[in-house]
Amino acid sequence: MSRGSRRWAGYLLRRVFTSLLVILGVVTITFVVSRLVPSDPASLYAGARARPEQVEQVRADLNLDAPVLSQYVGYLGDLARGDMGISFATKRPIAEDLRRFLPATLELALSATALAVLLGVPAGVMAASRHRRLSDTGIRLLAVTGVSMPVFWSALILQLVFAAELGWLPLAGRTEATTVFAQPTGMFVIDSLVAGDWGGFVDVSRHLVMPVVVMAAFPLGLTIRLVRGTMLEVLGSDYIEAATVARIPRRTVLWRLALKNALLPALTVLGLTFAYSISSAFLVEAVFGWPGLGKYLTDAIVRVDFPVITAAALAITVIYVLVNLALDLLQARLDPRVELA
Amino acid sequence: MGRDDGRASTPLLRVEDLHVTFNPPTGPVRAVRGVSLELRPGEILGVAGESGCGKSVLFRTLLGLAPASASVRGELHFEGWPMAIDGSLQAVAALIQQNPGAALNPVFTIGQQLRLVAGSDDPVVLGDLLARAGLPEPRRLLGAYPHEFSGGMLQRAVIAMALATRPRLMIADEPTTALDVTTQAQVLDLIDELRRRDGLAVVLISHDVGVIRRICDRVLVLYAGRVAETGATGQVLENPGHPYTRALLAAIPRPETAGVDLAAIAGMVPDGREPIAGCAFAPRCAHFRAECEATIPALRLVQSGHFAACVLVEESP
Repeated sequence: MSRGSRRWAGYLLRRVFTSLLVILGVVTITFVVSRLVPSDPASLYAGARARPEQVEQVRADLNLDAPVLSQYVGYLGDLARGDMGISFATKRPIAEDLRRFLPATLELALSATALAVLLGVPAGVMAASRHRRLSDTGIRLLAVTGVSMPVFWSALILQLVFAAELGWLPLAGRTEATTVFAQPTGMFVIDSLVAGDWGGFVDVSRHLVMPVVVMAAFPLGLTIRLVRGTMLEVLGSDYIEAATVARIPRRTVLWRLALKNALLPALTVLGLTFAYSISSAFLVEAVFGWPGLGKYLTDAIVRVDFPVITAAALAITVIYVLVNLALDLLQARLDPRVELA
Repeated sequence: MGRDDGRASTPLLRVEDLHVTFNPPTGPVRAVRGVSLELRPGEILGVAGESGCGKSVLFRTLLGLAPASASVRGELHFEGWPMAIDGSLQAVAALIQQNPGAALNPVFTIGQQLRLVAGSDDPVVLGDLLARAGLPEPRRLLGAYPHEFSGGMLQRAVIAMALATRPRLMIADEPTTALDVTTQAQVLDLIDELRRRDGLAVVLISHDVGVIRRICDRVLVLYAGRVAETGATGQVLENPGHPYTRALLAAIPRPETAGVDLAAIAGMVPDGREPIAGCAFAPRCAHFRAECEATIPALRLVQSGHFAACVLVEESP
């Protein structure tokens, strides 16, 4: 009756395997699309004023004259070694760039999602437990504001008030120029703590506040509305009525018995919101001069820098697949009704 | 209805003139219009009536489950002590809901839920509760989730959950409606056994006269939020005094009337939004007289302990 750990391990392996298949599928599609695009990668790489011999030289160097199948195998091999190719525009290895820019965006998205969940779940529970009363209305108003406020607008207002007028927070960027510490993860909050650089940590956190608040507004509003809705549904159920009649304290009923049921349907949406915030971070990054994936990708799109675009698309896909995998495993952990088959 | 003649006959529960009115924006709805009843220790009281007659609302109100906007009036005495009418019964009563599949929390094990209600971590105590509800291998079931149970096992687990609150009385709202016939009989036997062994008093709400006949000592027939008839189960079912009770009994399929059309009761249960001056059943009654619509008929004695609210009953002294 209780779920055996062997069944769980089997489920985990199967889900990891199917996730790898999805990633392979996306790799294949990006490869095929990059070969279908009606432009010659060799001449793009060589530049606008290259002579035909130079273009041919590049074609040979990049192995672009080989049969498509062997190019595909080579591409897979490169990816497996962590080689994502060279940017047409900057001639820099893309994998190295991603290692710099992706953690910056992840730091934003993770902080924003954490803020949204930590504030949104309690707010949603409180709104549902005070259904149709003043605090419910207030919380709902907050949620609608969060969901509907455009990012560039709220970002500018915050900059105007807290940076320009009050001077409490830095206007943009990730750190002051004077802040220096080792960056093993690329997420500066963690790096500064690992380095034991307290001043650096404070500086990094001060820079994070505004972009994170701006980025959290939408997922926060969404979390509140989702949790409020699922909580209301759960609070109307027979088993909550039974718990109430059995005189289980209201706090236990709300935060333990009801919340676990209410979080299950909300979980999927929250996870996908996190994944979406990574690909949609470019507005926040643009306003706050945040050197992240969004900025890197928009620059590449403007320059038609194909290797960078496909590599970034691949990175975002992998994040989506990983988030989905984590959600499935979490769901299976929390909901005993999920079949581990 | 002997009252106040010594401690021994003090009823466990006495409800006096209960009125429950819902207040939706469309105007007040009178769900219960003045019901009085008694429940003795160790007694099983059947509460019968069509859907919408107020039988669930009555007891859900006593358990504090009426919506906050409802107006509730009346008196409640538990073992002779007055208690707040709208909810204080929670302290001494347990509720068995209609659908056992929805009555247990799907994402916690039976053991986790039982632990919260019983306030004990001891697997012996918890297993004993399941065993009292007739579940085999109780210690192993503590780690199981509700979806791993069959309907009958679920209802037993729900009853174990109810027992965990150490109730003096159990209010079972259509406890067998969602179960198949064999399981129904087993659950009814279990309820009967709990009464015999633990002296638990039970209110069994049911529209199924067969269920009531099987285990109830006394029966209360409700119509349009009022008591139509009350008495010992045998008296009421064999010798009904109220035309509504007779119509209700005639609407039950029986082997001896197979092939004969069932006597469905013509007309509809009156709307709770209308005030009812006289007998609520008058518009549907075959024995209708002018006096039926004049005043609300009082409960008249049919025979000892058996009363019906009908002008046809010739009251014997």
